[in-house]
Amino acid sequence: MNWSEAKSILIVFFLVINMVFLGILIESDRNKYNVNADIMKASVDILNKAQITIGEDIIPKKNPKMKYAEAYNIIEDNMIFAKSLIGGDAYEAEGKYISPAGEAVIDGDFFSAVYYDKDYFDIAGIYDIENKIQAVFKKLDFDDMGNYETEYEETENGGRITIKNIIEAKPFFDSRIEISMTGQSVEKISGVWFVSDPDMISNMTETKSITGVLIDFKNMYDGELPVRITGLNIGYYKGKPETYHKSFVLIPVWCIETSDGGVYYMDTRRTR
Amino acid sequence: MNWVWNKVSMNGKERLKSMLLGFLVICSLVLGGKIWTQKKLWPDGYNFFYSIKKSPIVRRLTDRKASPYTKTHIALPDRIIINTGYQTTRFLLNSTHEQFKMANDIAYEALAAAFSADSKNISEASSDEWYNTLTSRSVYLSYDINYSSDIMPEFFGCSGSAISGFTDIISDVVISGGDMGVSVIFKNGSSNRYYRVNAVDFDRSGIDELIVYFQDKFDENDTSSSTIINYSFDLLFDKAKESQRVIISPMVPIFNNPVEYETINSENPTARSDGTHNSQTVKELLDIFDINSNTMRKYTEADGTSVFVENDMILKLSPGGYLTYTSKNPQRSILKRNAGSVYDAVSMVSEFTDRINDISGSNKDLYISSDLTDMDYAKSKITFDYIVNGIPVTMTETEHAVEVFVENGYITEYRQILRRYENTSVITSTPMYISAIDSVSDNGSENKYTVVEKMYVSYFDDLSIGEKTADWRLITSELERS
Repeated sequence: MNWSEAKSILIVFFLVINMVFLGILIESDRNKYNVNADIMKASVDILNKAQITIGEDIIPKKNPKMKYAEAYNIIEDNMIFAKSLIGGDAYEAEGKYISPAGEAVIDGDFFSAVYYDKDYFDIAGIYDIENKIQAVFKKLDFDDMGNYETEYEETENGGRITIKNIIEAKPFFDSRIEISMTGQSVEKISGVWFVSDPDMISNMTETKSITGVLIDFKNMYDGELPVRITGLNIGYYKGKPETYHKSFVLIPVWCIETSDGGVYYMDTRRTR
Repeated sequence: MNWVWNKVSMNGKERLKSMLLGFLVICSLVLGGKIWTQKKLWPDGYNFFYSIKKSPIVRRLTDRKASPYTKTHIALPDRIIINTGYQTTRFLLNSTHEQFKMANDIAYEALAAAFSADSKNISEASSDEWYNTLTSRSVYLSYDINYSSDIMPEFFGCSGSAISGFTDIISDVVISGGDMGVSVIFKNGSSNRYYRVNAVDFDRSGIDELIVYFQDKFDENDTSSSTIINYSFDLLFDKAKESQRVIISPMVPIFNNPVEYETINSENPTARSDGTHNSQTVKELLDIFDINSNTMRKYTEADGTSVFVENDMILKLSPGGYLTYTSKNPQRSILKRNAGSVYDAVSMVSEFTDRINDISGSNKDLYISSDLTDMDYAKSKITFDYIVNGIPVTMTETEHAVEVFVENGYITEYRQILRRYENTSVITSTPMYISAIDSVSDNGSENKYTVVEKMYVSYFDDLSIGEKTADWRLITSELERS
């Protein structure tokens, strides 16, 4: 065999090798985020042994990627914010803010305003929930509030609108505003709200495997047993609303809801 | 295609085949390498390359090496005074003077010899001997702090020095040529007692040559230099007189001329022009404090202070460059290992501070400003302050530039004002020392003497950014008039 023939054979050989390597890498990349069925079954068995049950229909088939986001508190200065809540003539007294329109309390990240003046928000003729919200935000000088979802619930005296914060298409679990209505008047507004900074959002980052998260949950759960996991959703969480945060790097978490009404937030960041 | 291939010459075909083969070999190496090193396929700890990268040897080689400035300056005198034997002329050197290193190196060897001396060569000395030595040819070493006689020798490479059997504290030192070798007198500033060590085997020629060098300088009639001083006791300013309101401690240097210095500009080295922190600096600081950036919580307080929280550790960095670290777990160490003794703790803390300065771009020159006496290994506080152009920087809004709390060898709290000082090329002078004395005299009470314990030139930093000037700093106490 001469060198020319040898080269031809080697070319074919390395072509095949490279195709195999490429195939491995493509397959690995495609399945990177899939939850391994055997590992998931083993995890469910471990949970069952610990008297924690979970329906297979709520377990995701893929480990989602999440972006890291830094979000800014809409409260920059307590007095200025209080004035936007209850009017420019608000003053501070006895740990709260008071004006003819109502009174407000700001505690860390949490704010709450109760309105004496039933016509403070002129929304009597507005029936669409989204338009009502926009009218309220306009009155409060809440400009760019980012993305959100709304829920409306009828109550004894009127209704309650819950505005849930959405960051990068994922729920921000502990950031929401509630508007309580009496008839067509706003009685109370309260909540915690952060707006994400588009310049401070990272690229998609891998998260901890859901099987690992479920095992972590089993290890930390100290409630009544047996218990069933009724909800499993990924989103963002901040925590500690009693302390003021001017800005916060949001933590991607799995929100685990249990049959006993418990809600648990499991950090889904990879440790290294 | 065949037609094209047939048209290409034999040599051309072979060349093409060689290039294609080379390309395929390189591709297979690249793809194979990617598979081999991909963490998904090799769990942490089993990946050969990943394990090598994380091994202690590689980490030691690749870890940033900090300038060991703070550590090497723990036992450095704040000033060296050369006594030529002429009472009216003494030369004061600080770390910026050309001859300081030379003088310090000679003094270091002499002290090392003294610390190694046998107890039979140690005796108590009188205050007269102390002052007589100062008025003759000798070298006086003034220190910012008091040292435990157990700890100080360790900085000179000696452990278990016989001097600790005579005195527990070392405040100041005078070195002179003895009948044999050199004579070193240690002063205990707390008890005002003195102890002479005869380092009989040490060659005194170094000390003699140093003094002669400065004697020759004086002979050149260079009397305008601010290096020329007298001690307070030379001028009898340490004696209480009915007509006077101020007594100046005997060893306080009195400057014949105003002290010239260069003004400095202070800046926060971690701040960017838009007011945010340098992200690379923050990343490296998190690393050195062993905070995992993947699992920490990060938020900003109302005043713009960035807060990083992981389990029991909190690191804060304010917009003004104030860095604080607290750990509620006293067993969690950010030092390379648990310090086994007070000396160990001081050395390791100063190394740690050097690394912080290196990462943050802060001024590298720091001196230890907390006494190294009575330090409780279970709980102690070590402080450092900046020194620029040989002149210490006094922080007017905080006690010290760096404060470190150590419990059982672990750092539980670390606080530092991160500052970089640049010279401005503007040379100016302090007022005459007498105006500083007058100001304390005016503020004193009628029934008491104001005693000036220490007096030196210092920059004053109120934590604002910008130009800083120097002035006299006086540390005083009061003494009842008898």
